[in-house]
Amino acid sequence: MMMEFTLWDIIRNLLFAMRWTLALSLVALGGGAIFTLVLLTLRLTCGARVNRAISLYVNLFQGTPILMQLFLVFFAFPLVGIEVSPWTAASVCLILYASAYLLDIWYSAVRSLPRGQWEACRVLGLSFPQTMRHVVMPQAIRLAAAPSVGFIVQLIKNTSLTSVIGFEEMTKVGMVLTNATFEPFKIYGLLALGYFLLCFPLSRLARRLEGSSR
Amino acid sequence: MNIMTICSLQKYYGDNHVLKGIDLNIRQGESVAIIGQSGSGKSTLLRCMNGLEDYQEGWIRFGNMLITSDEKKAREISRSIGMIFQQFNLFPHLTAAENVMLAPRLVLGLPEKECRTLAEEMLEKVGLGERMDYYPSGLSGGQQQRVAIARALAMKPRMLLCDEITSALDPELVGEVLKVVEQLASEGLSLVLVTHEMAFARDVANRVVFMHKGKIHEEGPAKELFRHPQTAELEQFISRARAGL
Amino acid sequence: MATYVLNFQGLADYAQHFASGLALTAELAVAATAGGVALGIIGGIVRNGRKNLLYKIWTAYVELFRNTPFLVQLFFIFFGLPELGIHLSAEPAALLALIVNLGAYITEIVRAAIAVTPKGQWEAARVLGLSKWQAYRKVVLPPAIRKVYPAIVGQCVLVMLGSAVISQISCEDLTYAASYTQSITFLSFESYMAATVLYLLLAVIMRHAMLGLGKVLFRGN
Repeated sequence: MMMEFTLWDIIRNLLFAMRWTLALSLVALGGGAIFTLVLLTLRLTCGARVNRAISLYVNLFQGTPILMQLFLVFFAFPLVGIEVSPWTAASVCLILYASAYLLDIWYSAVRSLPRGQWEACRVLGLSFPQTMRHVVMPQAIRLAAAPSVGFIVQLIKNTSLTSVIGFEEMTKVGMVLTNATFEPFKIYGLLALGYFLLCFPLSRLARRLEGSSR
Repeated sequence: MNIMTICSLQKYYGDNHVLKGIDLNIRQGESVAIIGQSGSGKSTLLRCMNGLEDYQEGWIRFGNMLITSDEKKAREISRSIGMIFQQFNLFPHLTAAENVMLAPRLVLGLPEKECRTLAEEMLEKVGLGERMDYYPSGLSGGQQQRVAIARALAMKPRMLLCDEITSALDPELVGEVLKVVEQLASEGLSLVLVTHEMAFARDVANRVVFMHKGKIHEEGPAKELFRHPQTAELEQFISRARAGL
Repeated sequence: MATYVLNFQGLADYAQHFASGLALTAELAVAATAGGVALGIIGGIVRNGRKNLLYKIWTAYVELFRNTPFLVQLFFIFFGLPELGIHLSAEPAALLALIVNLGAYITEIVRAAIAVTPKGQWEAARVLGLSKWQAYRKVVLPPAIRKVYPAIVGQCVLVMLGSAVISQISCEDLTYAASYTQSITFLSFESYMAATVLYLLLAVIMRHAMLGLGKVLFRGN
């Protein structure tokens, strides 16, 4: 039997699912930021071998489809005898994916500071963590803000791919609703609107930040 | 008494032999000007003196501390040797006072309030007591360089290295910076200055070191050296500098 | 803990599927690149022009497609448009989605590049008597596109990688081949690993081919 869905039912269901889209985006962003800071520290302090390993990781994640990354992470866990939920696989994968891009953005922001800033810290006797915390980060954050916010838009949009491995975020719920109502035009239109409402303000913010950092 | 001793210092950048056996003593309370053409190795020598650059042979001693470019030594060196750069290298996201306070707070561990008083005192000393809460972008080049001097002095160094500190300044701003340095010299702070300002080297430095092709070509008391250069190279250098002025 | 030995030999019988999937992915990438870049260059010009109706429509298009997921755009085109009487089979629908998606990004890249053209270039073209269109074609566009060409290449590669989701509307691309293979052999990890390596290879080849093409296109200026 075909169920009757009012417009409000559809919107309510999509809004409910949007919470999972947001939750996954926040986890990927938070986890990704922490992992990126670890990698950034390694890149700035370790030798050539560690740097090569890190840039291999970055190139692999930037050079392959996220959908493949999701499948591989999802199917890799069972290989070592661990069953994971789509939520866990999606989180792990998107954290790794986000770090591969954020590292590029943040590293180039740090590197674009004049060498004199590092030298001044050194002759004043600041330790590496103090230099990072008090001198490098406050300046790098300004430079990296616009591209980082721009990347968050990509991240939010890419959470839609986790529907393919069965994570019940907004796109997945949209697909389920479509199957139940046979109103794809309306539902995918609303779905697009949902993403647009999340992403458009961030895109605007990114553009504003870009203007002010110049 | 010697505050710093440099003995047969050799430095290479790859195949490029930049310092070819430097022997130099800096005495307590003395101000030494290092002059020479660009590429003569004078800035490199200065940067070796506080471990910003490494060297391959010889040694540099400051008191009983051996100066090397080892990162771990940087903190210890910073407590005794200050440095001022050509490009100021102020931290653009911090105010003048915050620039001065940063190292005393983080490296010496002084309490916030004491740091603030110290910053006031140091900025007053360089004539910028009124500009404490300005950001570097709101200051002229000469003012920025004076903040950089205050920042270095706040660490109470026993010796101060100045690396072409007026080269990035408009001519009319050079005087205000040199006046501060002159005052420091008269107070008995040990100074080593790499400089293009010949008049300044002559009037302020006790001793002038002329570097040529990675070696100390000639040295002596400032006025003596300028009046009676012993080598053709120095004579030529001085007359060129005069022509340029 | 169970130890598992990866079994790539098990995929050998399905090499044909992977090959034809790879071919479709590559074909669509070439077609999408051609269409998307053309659309984007037109868009870049429109977005630098007078703020008329076309400008507003194009701006809305760019914002809409840059701020929604490609997967949703694909579903909308394939499942939603038939409600308006526009019926597309899977491959044309996928190609259309890829082109309009890429076109939105290239529009912004080209718009920014045109916007920073020095005023003197326009004035020189004008005093020489060139029409607006001639000025674009001969004076403004070549250096502008040359400058952002690496960004254009990067975006085209990203769209090729993003095309992996067209398997969701049953386009028999590389991902489809992997999914098909794993559904029969149950060698999930191996199947997707093989596809991933092929995508990586394709991305590297595409990047180098496009940069090489750029060298030919932009030689002499």
